[in-house]
Amino acid sequence: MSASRIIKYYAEEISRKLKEPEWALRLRLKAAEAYDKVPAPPWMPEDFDVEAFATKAAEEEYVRPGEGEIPEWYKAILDKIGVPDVEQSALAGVTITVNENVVYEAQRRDLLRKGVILKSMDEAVREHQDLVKDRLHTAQRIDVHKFAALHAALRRGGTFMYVPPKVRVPFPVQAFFVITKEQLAQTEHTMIIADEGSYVHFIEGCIVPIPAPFSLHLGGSEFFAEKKARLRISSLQDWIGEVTHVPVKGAIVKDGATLEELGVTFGGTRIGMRPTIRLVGKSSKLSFNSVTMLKNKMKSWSGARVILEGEGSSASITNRSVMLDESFEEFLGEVVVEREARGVKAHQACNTLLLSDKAVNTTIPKLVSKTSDAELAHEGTVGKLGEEQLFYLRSMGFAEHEAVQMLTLGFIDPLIQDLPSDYVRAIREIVKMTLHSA
Amino acid sequence: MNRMSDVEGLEVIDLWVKVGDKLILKGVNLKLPKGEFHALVGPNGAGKSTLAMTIAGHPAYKVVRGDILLDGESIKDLDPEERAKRGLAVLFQHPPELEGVRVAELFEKLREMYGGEKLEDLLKLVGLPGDIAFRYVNVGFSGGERKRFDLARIIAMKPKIVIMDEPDSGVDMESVKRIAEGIKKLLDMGAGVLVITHYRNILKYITPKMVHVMIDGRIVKSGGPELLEIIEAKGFSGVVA
Repeated sequence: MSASRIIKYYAEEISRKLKEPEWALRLRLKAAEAYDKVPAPPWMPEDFDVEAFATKAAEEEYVRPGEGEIPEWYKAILDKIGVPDVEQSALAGVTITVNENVVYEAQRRDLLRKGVILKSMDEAVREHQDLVKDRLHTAQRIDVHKFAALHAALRRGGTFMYVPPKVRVPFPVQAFFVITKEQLAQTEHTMIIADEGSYVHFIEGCIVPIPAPFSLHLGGSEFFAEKKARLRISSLQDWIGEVTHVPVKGAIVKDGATLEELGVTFGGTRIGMRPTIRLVGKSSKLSFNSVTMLKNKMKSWSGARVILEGEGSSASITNRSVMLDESFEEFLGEVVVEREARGVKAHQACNTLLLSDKAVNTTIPKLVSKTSDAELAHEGTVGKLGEEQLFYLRSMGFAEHEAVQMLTLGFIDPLIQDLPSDYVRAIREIVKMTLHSA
Repeated sequence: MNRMSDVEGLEVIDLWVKVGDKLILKGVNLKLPKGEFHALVGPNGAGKSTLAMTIAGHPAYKVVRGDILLDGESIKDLDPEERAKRGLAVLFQHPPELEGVRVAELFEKLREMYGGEKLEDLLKLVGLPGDIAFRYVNVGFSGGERKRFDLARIIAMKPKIVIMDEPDSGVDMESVKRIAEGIKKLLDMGAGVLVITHYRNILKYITPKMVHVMIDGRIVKSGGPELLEIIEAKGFSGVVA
């Protein structure tokens, strides 16, 4: 039996369980069909067993952390954002919260009053077809590679958020995935829509403090910044255990809109993600920053494909990686300027910090311009920490490992400094722990 | 550890130092007791900065002979951080930028280690604005800001012995004055301070007890501040004639 037929079987099962409308099922089947035809991404494990994956994706499972498995710093975050203790240990559902001191249910009401829709993706497919139907898998396309198709066919769980025109959400909306069957699904899908002239900062914290219940995580996300909207997305991922993390992502930015995306990824053993971001609108803007830290024998394929289609659109892309032990990274940063896009600007920077002689980094910048009227630049550095900086700190009395820690935190600080302080602290804690265990 | 001398402070004994294959210091002898202010002068390339870096413990500077004692104990084979913890602080000629490391964060850690003064007081002392606390260390700092900052972090270390490598180069006069005040503060705290200076600007604001003249890797003359006038009139070679 072909892989596509196997996937189809499970896609139908999931769709039935979720009581989806007909069009959603058809989209799944189309994706299943595509699986056999599209290429495998380089990060697809050679021994990938599509049937085993599909079976598990269709299954429901509950996971809860055991006693003492939640680290203190993580609890501190949950405390700060007002998640009650009892829910911290076994929470089922999205935790929505704002800032640092308000209880999350109150904020859910606040968002409702503004007309913001925030619910699970599965519900949104049933209840908000007007918003979802024309967008689903248009930013995260099913034909990019096999994982993109597989995700779309077996999509389940995830978060949906819609911000109505001109609504500005004054606080960051935090979807903190604690431990839940829905949000920690293998194939969850996140869709964020910032409608015309709206503003929102969505923080997706998937700092899972316990080993994930699956070995391959194939989540997906789609971000839509409609005309003149400003959409800020910060996503934090920390995978514990032998997890292959291969999210499929895409975004579309319309006229005069701005998308600011920050992705911070830790953990896992194999990471593969190359989102496609299309700047379709005139004078649309993108700021895309990513931070990764690789250790042990982790392998990572990173970078983004940014397509500038709108006149006067601009993009700034920065990637910073810290590599330890025998890790491997291939960064492919691709910037494409379409023919009709005049007066565009794009700057791409990729900086890698090598903290080990055995880590291997390959950086491939790819700038494609189909118009003469584009300003494109790429800047890449691969290197170790500066000897003079290390000596300077040691001469102040800091031990070498402390100096390494300070400079490594410093290396990523410029990209994370605008996040709420709880998250900055969390990221710094994770970096410290990773360095400590190396 | 055995005490090799009774001198309270820094003692450099017959120090020979190589950088790569090149012999730079050729038998330096120097004593800097606590609480005293000394100046080390000499032409470019005499080895003044090499002496500072060697005392600080920079791995590129290899001691081939001789010793460095702090309060009578050898620090020659210690890591730079160990030397700092024992009370040695070095002001860098070109303090490097520490991207991503904020001034406030650095001082918080120094305070944990040494328990010194509060950052806002230190900044006031060296005449830096309070908002510098949120900036990255030395990133975008002017020449004067860099040296004032470095002086503040040295005071935060509550050192016994301070070596300052050209604190008065590349800075405005206001900064030179501030640095001179900082040296007085360090002396009040009981530290011994050695200033390496090429320009001698700083010595207009604070008079050294001793002046050491270094030429070609050796200290060729040590004496009182009157040496400075001879150098002024006859140049460095004048002091050995």
